[in-house]
Order: sequence, then C-alpha cells, then structure tokens
Amino acid sequence: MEKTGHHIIIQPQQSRPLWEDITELWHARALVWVFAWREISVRYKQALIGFLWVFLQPVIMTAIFTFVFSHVAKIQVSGNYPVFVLCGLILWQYFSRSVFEGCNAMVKEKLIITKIYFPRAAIIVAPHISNFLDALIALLVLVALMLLTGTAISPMIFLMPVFLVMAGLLSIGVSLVIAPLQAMYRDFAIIMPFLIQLAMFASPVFYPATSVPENLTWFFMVNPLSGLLEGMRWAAYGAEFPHALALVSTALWTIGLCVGGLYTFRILQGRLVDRL
Amino acid sequence: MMINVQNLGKKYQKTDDGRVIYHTLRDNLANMLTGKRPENIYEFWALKDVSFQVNEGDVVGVLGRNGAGKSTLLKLLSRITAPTTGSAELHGRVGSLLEVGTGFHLELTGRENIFVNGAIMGMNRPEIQRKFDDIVEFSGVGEFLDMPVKHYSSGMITRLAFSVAAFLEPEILVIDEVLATGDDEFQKRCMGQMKNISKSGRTILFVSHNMNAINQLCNRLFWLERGTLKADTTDVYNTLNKYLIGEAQENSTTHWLADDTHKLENDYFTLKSFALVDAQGGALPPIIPNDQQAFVEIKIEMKEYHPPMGMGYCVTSERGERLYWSFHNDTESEKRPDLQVGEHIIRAPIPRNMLNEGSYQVEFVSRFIPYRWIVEPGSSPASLVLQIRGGLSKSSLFQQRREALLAPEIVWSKAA
Repeated sequence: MEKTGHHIIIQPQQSRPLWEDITELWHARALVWVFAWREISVRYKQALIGFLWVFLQPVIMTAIFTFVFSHVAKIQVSGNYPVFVLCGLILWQYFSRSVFEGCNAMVKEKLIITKIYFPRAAIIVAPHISNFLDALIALLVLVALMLLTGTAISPMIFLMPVFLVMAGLLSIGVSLVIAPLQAMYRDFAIIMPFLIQLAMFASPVFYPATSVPENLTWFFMVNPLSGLLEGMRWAAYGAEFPHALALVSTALWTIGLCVGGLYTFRILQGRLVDRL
Repeated sequence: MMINVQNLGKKYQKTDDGRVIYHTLRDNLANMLTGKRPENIYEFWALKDVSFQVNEGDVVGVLGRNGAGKSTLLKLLSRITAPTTGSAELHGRVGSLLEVGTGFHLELTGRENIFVNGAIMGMNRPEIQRKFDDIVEFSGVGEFLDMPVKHYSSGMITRLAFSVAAFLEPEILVIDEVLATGDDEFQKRCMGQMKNISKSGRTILFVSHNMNAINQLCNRLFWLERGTLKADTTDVYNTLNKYLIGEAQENSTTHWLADDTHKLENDYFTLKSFALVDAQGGALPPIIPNDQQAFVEIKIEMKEYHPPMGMGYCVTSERGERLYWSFHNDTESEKRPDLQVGEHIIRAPIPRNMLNEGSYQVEFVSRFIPYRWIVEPGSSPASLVLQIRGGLSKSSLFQQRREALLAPEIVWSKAA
C-alpha cells in the first residue's frame, strides 16, 4: 500500500496555525469547483429558461431601475443612466447573491455536513464561483448596452472582473463570519436579507457617490462597496476613479473579514454540526 | 499504528424529553445577560473516556445497542464533529461512509454524481477518472449512468455510493451500517471488497447489526456500552456470542411488576402487573414457538370505571410496525369481563400461528373509546417482549421464516 502521508489530529479545539486552514482549502480547490459546477448545472437543468434568464435578468433590472430612479426620481448622473446603473447592478447582484448563498451554505448543505468531512469553507466559497459566471455573462449584456447607447467603452473594461473578484473576496469574508452563526441561530436567516437590502441603499448602486451631501462622504469612504462600485464605472466608461481612501477601506475590510472569518469559522465549525 | 485514540469523549446537551436544544439568539443573549442557565437541559456523554489503538490491516467491528455511542465514535473519527475531550491521531487518508447517498444530487446523472461524490471524499479529478470504470463496473449501474439519479432505485444509489467509497482507497475506511441495504448479491460483493481492502494493509472500522458480516470480516471487536468501551478484543466469535446472549436476556422481559421504579397509575386505575403467561398462568419462557398459545395477563386495581374505558394490549413488530391492539370490551357486553371498582385479573390470548418468527413488543394500553388514549401505544410504561422462534407449521415445507409481516398457518381445502 502506498502511504499518502496524511496525518490527522483530532482534538476539541484545532491547534494548528491559521495558514494551514488556508492550505487545506487550497488542496480542496477541486471540491470547490465541483460544488460550483454542481450548482451551475443544476440551476440550468432545472429552469427551462435557465440560461436565457441569466441574460434577461440584468436587462429587466436595468429597465426597472432606469424607470424608477432616472425617470421618476430624476437622479442625475454623468453619462447614460442605464449604463451607469447596470455597472453598479452587476457588482451588487454578484455581491448580494454571494453573501446570501454563502451565509446560507451551511444550512443548505446540512445533509452533507452532518455525514461527511471535507474542508467546510469549500461550500462557502463555491457559490462565489457559480455566481461569478452569471456576473461575467451580465458583463456581456453591459457591453451590448454600451454599444447600443453609443457609450464609449474604456480600454480599462478588462479590469471589471478584478473589481468583481474583490467583491467576491469581501463576500467570502462576510460569509465566513455569518455562515456558522446562521447555522446555529436561525435568527440570522431572517436578519440577513434585511441587512442586504439595507446595504443596497447605503451603497452607490443606483445613485452616484458624488451626489451625497458633503457631511456624509466619510460614510462612503468607510463603506467597502462604494470604491468597488465606482471602480466598475471607471473601468467601463472612464467615470471618475474611486477615491483612494475608499479602495483602502475595501482592502482593510476584506482582509479583516477574511482573517477574522477564518478564525471564527474554525472555532465554530466543530460545534455547529451538533446544532444543525 | 494507524489510529491512536486517547480519552476521547463527546458531550451533548439535551432537554428533558431528549430533544437536542434549539437555540435562538434571543434566548442565548437573555441567558447570558441574566446569567441564568436554560431550564430542563441536561448534559450527557455520548462517548466517554475511550482509548484504543488500531493497527494497519485491522478490521474492527463496532458493536453496541442504540445510543451506546457507535455513531458518535465514527463521527468523531471522520471529523464530522469535534470531541469534547481527548484526542485521536490518524495516520492516513480517511474515507467515511456514514450514510448512503450523502452528497448525491438527484438532478445530476450517475456519472456526474460519481465525480461530485469522489471530490467530496477527497479525490481529485484524474484520480476519479482512473477509477471510474472500476466504480461503474462494481456498482452495476452502467446502463443508467447518464440518467438523473432521481430515477434510480434506492438499491442502485446504495451500490453506487458504496462503490465510490470503496474505490477511494483510503488508508482508513469508516463505515456505518451500509450493508443493511442492498440485495444479497451486492452485500456479498461489498464484503469481498472490504476483505480486499483489509488485505492490502488498510484499516476498516465498521458498525453493523449484521453479526455474520462482523464474524466473517473482523479480526477485532469493540463493544460499546453507554458511551464506554466495554470490550476491546480479538476474540470476535466468543464476544459476539456473549453480546447476543446478553441482548436476548435483556430483551426477555415477559413480566412487568409495579414497584418503586415501575409505576402506572392514574385517576382511573393502578396497574399491578402485566405479564405474558402460558395456559396454566405460569411464566412464559423468553422464546416460544409460534404454535404455543401465549396469554397476556393484566392485574389491575380499578378506582373508577366507565364502560367505554378499554384495557388492552398492543403488539408492535421489531421494526415499529403496529400490528394490532385489543381491548377487553371489544366483544359484546355479555362476554366482557366486568371491571367494577376493585382488583381484577384479566387474561387474553395472543393468537397463535399468526405472528411471524421474530421479536415483538407487547404493551399495556388503555383508551377512552373512541376519544382519547389513557395509556398510548408507543409510550406505555408497561412493555414486554415476545420472542417467537420455530413452530411455524407442522408441514415440512413451511419451516423457514418468510419475509412477511405475518406467518399464519392457514388450512386450505378443495372447493370442488
């Protein structure tokens, strides 16, 4: 028999250094892909118009947001409002859906978690990948819309996925903290959708950050999403580059949440199985 | 050494009625603020202070009654849940199969599920590809490979799941009662595969209620009782027998007598005794043949009597199927025993040559017919065990247990 050199120590509390949690997850990347792929293929197998829906959704959302915020609420932006709002929506939809699914992952995969071991963080990361595909498709819709409206496409458009990846990392951080809590306390399942909705209004998704009163600008510097949303617009059609502080705050939030998330996740993951 | 377990323990919190507690954040915060412990919660050790070492090539059977800690042990070793105390060291990759079909997605095809399941168990894609044909061949679901698993029978899912686990080639394989499902043919193949696995120096730990399987496969036996290791032995055959005898004795309660700890009392009556007896009223042996007439005898003191109140017994099979219940007032009023206030002994037969070979639960039950239970089946404190072996028929052609709920001996005749 070949020795695989695996050596596992089971203890009440993990004592290995944190980076080993990360390497374990890295070794399980095939599993992350499989979970993501499973999600994608099931999504399109189940829904008859599954694939079509991925295109339709950003179109419909853009139309509604444009009607409500541009025609009714008369929000002013530099440039074309549909293009403006779709840039924000792509990132926002990706972020909010990933947070929602990431936080719910432990509850959703309860049956597997209680019967088999694998690095648990894999199921939290997986929805970030399957949703990423939808976001990339929505980017195609954006390009089509820009061509249609005659908006000049910035050469930096290839950086849009980078902002999406940053939003994904931020969402992974949030999910690592919340997912085990949501598995232990069902209250979170009620609070989270509400908080996500609140976050949309607190972020420059359908309005420009420049239009907020001066005494509130600090808030948009602290909000980790505003830098990313503005970054999307900068990359797409050369809107103003986000304030450096906003991007710094995004980075700090992401690092803080991911590291803190890995810590709380390791503390809670052994216990939460008994409470699922 | 493959596995080294030291003082392993797992504590659970449960409520009085045995439920695992359901927490809300509000409750926890409130308890934290007031410093109060939630009521009605007790802690119990599902596993306590268990230590052992397992070597390469050991095949360990894990025995024990329900709640003895078998599943907890396997869950700890397969890292599903963390222990409360102690430690375990495993040298090698662990593959576990604690429930068949875990990780199977019904919408995906068999082929896709092999990859999903293999990945969950820690295989990478090339590894799965290498073993794909073996897995498919062993499972025997080849022709349905591209069909969604939701169209599979449960047997097919079992076979596919076991095949994936068996070909993962973990150095340590942990299996919980999977041989219980699947047909005979497949069980034999599983056993063969497990023998191959152990021959190649791998280690297997498995829980089974199939004593034959344990006897054939295992060179070592763990006997768990109330969370502790009662026996850790290589004398598999004799220990198995000891376990079986112990189980039979413990189950052979044919007499329930009211005392300090066993009580059944309410506003209407006090149950004094509840027993299985023979035609002479003598104690029934723990195991009887199917053609022996057994009776249920109830000694009861009535405090208050209402005609619609029925006293009776209920028969439930080992698998929990309720076969029937009968009350003393099921017959017309002239034929019923009269239960006025005072002490009575009443007796009723259990139809012979009707039940199958096996073990049955016989409970005292009582009901206000038809409104409500006074003593309900399934939760009666007075419960006996009737075990039937042999005596199925006088015919030499009906001596084997039939796979059916009942085994009545029915007299046939020529119609014309």
